[in-house]
Amino acid sequence: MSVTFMSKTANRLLTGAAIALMLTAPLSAKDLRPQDMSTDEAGMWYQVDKLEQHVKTAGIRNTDPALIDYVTRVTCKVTGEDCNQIRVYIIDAPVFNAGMYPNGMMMVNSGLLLRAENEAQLACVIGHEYGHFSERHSLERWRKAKGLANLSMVVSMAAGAAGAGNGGSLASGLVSLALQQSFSREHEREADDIGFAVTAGAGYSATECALVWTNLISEQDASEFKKVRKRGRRNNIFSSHPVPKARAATLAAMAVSTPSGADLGEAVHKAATQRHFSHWLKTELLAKDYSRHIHLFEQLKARGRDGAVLDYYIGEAYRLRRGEGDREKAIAAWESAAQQIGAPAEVWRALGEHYRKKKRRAEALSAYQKYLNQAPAAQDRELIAAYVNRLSSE
Amino acid sequence: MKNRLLGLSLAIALTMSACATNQTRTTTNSFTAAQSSKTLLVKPDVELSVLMASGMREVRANWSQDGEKYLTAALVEALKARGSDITVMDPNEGLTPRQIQIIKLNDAVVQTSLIHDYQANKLPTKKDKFDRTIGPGAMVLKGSSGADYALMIKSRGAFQSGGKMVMNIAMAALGGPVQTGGTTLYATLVDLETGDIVWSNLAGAAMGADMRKPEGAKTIVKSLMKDFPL
Repeated sequence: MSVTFMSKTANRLLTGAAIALMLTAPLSAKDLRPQDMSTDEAGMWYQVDKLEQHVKTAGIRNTDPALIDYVTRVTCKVTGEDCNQIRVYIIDAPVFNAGMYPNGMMMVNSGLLLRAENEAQLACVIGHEYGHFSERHSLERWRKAKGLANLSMVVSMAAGAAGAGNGGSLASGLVSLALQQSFSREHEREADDIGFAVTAGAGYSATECALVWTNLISEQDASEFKKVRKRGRRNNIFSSHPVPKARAATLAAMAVSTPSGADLGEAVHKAATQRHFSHWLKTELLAKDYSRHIHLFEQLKARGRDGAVLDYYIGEAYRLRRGEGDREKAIAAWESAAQQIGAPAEVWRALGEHYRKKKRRAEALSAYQKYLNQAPAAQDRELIAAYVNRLSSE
Repeated sequence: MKNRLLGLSLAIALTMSACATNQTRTTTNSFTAAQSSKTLLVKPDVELSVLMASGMREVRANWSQDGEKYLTAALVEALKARGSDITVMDPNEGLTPRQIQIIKLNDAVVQTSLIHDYQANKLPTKKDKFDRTIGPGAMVLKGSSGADYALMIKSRGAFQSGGKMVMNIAMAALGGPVQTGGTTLYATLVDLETGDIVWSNLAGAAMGADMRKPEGAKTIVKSLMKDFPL
């Protein structure tokens, strides 16, 4: 089912029919590995197989079997019989992303697992990536690139012969890049269609697919960087993906015209990701886009995720942002965390530091002691113990 | 990213390989080759492509696999002829995570070495020396092999398509640039006690020396082993 070369309108009109077809048609179960080793496709697999070896042994790969099982189970639900050709790798990276390679390697970033509200939203993204795989988009893109390079070569030679010099070759290069990127955007739309269809087909609520993008846009809008804020809204002819806003609108329209199941899987998603939740929040802060981090953490809190841990990291984000009044906001967040069950030990260290600087001796002592009790193996134990000694003798 | 940079460095080196070239570096740290040594040959990382008329390269799996096979065989033969005891190690099979990290570390050092020891980016502190090392952690690569050295090789090559040949003839007639492809190899010999890269060679295969065939691989290895310290 390739809708790549059709006009956008035809594509949109056909979507409903295509989805209906996909919901009933069994998914292919043939082995996709190329048999003829002399083809462009086999060459592509050769390279990606090598990449997979690197990914498999990467230090940032998350090897928690329960987490891998969870993501694999969602993957199998949306990919049906093709599931046996897919291998899931989870990468601890604080970036919203997932990727699927032509040989069946599926990479899912922790940044996606942290942001997905539920199993259904994860299924939408995995389904999208699977769409690139099942339609062999990488291969199509490579073939298109070869064709465009040939065209560009002929055009620039002709331009050279006509005396246009380097300008001709630059222009033909830009035109072929624009054509290539428009082709890539078509692939993204097609993968969105497939992602929606397989998510709905697996019994999930496909209404969630649009929310993946609206959530991301609202997070990007909170960014301290203009470039990130623009990401959701504006595009140019060299963009590889459609604008998130447009994708959200299309997916929302699909959800209205195509009924899907009611499965959300919110509790399951929470349980599967809980063990890594705190670590993922910590790594988010590495992007140093604190206003965006605060927005995301508040969103997670509103969804009922671990409030004590979130309040601690909200405090951290304020502390690191160092804007007007941020210090007070950080203290308020830590004090709120301290009153909840399951507050991380670091909350007590942060509060201890604060009280000590403010000469609130008794409170500082009590906070530091709580920290030492809760984190007996902490690396800074000696330092904090020294503070406790000094404060006790004051 | 790292691999892309490596590809680029090797691609630049590709343009200068009309006849066999060797750029060898021998460690300036103290080093004496062990008598009757054992060498661990890590299976070479080979990627051979077709160079298309437009100048794009497309990897060919069958060529790359043949290249890897014949290059390995030729290396084993050459090292044996020098009296070295050889163990071939497949980096994708049965290695511990720590051993894999050592191979990845070698890749990272190779990347730096290609930029700063072989191109015009000589570092002021490295002007008169070649003391690249991956550190004594290299010892873990020995495993049960008892090897004294590890030889690691990366190779990238491109062979022109029929269309490219026609294109080159046309370009030559017009006085334009001609791309003929070629094969580049980068080899490092690591002392598994100290981790020092005791010898390295950025080599360009002679025109016509083709590792997709056993004989071609032998010719390439013979030239590659120039100044080999073992």
